[in-house]
Amino acid sequence: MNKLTDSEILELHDLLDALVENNLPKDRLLRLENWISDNEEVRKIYIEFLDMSSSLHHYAEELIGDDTEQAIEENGSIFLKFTKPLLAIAAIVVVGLFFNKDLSSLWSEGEIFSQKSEMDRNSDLLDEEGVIIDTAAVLTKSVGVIWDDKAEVRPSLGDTLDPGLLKISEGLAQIEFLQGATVVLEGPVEFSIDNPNEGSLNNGKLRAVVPRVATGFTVNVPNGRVIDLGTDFGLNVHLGGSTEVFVYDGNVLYEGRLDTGDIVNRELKSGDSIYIDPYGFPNWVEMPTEPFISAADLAYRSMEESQRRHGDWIDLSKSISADPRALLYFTFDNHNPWSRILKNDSLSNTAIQNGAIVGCKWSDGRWPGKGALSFNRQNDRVRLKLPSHLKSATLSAWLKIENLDQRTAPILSSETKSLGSTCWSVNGNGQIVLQTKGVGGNIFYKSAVAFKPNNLNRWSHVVTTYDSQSAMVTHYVNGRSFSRERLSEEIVLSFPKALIGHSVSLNGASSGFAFKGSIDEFGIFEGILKDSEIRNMYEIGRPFEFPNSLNSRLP
Amino acid sequence: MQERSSELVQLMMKYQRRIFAYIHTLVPSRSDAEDILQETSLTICQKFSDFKTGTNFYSWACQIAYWKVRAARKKFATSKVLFNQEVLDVISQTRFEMEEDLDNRHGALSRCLQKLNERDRRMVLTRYESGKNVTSAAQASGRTIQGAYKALNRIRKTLFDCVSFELATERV
Repeated sequence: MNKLTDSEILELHDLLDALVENNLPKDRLLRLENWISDNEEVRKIYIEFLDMSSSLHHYAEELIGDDTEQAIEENGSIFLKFTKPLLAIAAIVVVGLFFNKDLSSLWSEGEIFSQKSEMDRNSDLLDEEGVIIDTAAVLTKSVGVIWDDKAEVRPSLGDTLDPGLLKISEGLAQIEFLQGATVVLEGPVEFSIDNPNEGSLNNGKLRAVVPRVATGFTVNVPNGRVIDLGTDFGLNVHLGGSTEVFVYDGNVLYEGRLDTGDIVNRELKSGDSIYIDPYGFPNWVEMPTEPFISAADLAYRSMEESQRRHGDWIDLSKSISADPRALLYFTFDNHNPWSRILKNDSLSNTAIQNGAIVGCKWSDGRWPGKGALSFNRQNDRVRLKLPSHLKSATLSAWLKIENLDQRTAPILSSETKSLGSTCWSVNGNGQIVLQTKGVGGNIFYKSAVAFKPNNLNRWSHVVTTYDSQSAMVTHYVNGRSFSRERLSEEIVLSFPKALIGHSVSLNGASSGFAFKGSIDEFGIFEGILKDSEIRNMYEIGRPFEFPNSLNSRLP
Repeated sequence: MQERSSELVQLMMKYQRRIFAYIHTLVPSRSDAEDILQETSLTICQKFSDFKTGTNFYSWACQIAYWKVRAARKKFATSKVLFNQEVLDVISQTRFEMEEDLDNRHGALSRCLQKLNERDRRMVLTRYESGKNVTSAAQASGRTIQGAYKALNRIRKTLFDCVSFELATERV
């Protein structure tokens, strides 16, 4: 017999490691099985490895036993916890039951089941008390999701998910478990994330795609559990407690219990479907009653929804272009990647010149294919001229801020420092600031904190209105009035020369500030846009799946 | 009657780890191996009157365990027992030939665990505690889950090599 080479030993250890972690795909399991069968050295290493595994269990339990004894002494409790079934049986023998009764009738299979459940419950309790619950999954896609009124968790797109219950009234949500399984939930649905490779479907529909690395992914259903053996399957739990399972690809094992207490198993292969009645009995059926939405369907719907939204926004932008109040309107659309001119799309104010792009790069905006300018370097900017003087004005922008490292992230800034010079920015605290030069010096109108680290890098709609008639400055974030402040001095705003994405300091500092992020829509309007118009700009313009993460902080 | 009862308890206390290790070699999933151990233990209790004092209890108990594994294989199809019957038989046979060596390895493992640094030792023992998993081990050692998988792979290899080295040294 040839001795194993170093690379074979490494391969064998990888196989054994995956085996004990329950991560071994079927083809590799077959490789291991054949290797064990054919090669005595492999067989011996396998036995030594598995024996080491059980020894590690033994030493780990010994350590717990020591801790438990110590805890018992400390607490003065007489509770004795048996961590091993064998010890529990030994205890029964000690109390003298064993020779007098037929243990098989004393502990029926069902009672063993419940005994084990009790131990599991103890173990769960330990988990709750002793382990910090960690991230188990990520919300990676959603289409039209409306969370249930009673939902305690309402994650935004991209949020990590701790173990807990998700309640969705409408829409589709894609959850990716950390071990690799992906499930698409169809509302109305109640689904609990239990750990990085397990969840529970209380009611509603899901479709799961489980790659090999996540084999063993388990979904608990009312009368049992569905264990994946490397596959793609759909589940539907009806409100009455019945469940449908349909396997699209691969194998799935259903393990359940009848209401009589008997355990029942079904192994389903590709194309198989079972209906588990409310009493727990699995019946083979031809097809599930309804289809399940797959990740591919969801991606298609995402794209469709995205295109629909882009189309709606184009219609809106045409009406804004035609609006006589729009002095300057940059859609950032329909530009060549090498274009250094930012076209003013305002149709009614063609006298105002286009902007000159300095340094900025073209990138994708809120939708694939929509243009945006990225401001990454210190001197990136768009230079423009705006001859108007505005007693009342509305400033509007869709922007994505990457960081707020600098004291201020200027959106629009006058280059001059004369009376009426204006700078519109987000400061380092995340507040929207309108700064104007008055007779007595600079005047600052600051909003509440609108941007925090957790909502950077997301497209946001920001509007500020300067209303001389009502003597109010109002800041809007994502379509809602965010904060209002009375004018302290009425002046006329002027931008004879202005910059987008860069500012020269109005208070005389030599070096300016740079906006770090992207802008994909910008407008200056003469007069005040109504609340409803601003809301409409946000609702139609918001990118697909845009999480309105600022809502909770709205005043 | 009372004597036999205490004899059984003593034998089970003495051999429980080895019986579990035998089952675990045939059934790599810990929880499945524990289920089979539970069934095996019940049968041992029921049949203990058949056991002749002075004969090999471990061997007798393993025969019961072997048949429990076979039964589990039929009952649960792919869920509990991964290998086909022929492979189970050769593993079982080879294991009996290695028993003494495996006992020595168990003792050597204790010494090798002491050689690990505190962070690795805590991590690997957390992983093997009842009801714990890789996530628990990751938390105990301040690692990511992916990091924990890699670290466990490395630690197991280290322990395995350490145990083999210890035994080789003893033989010399």
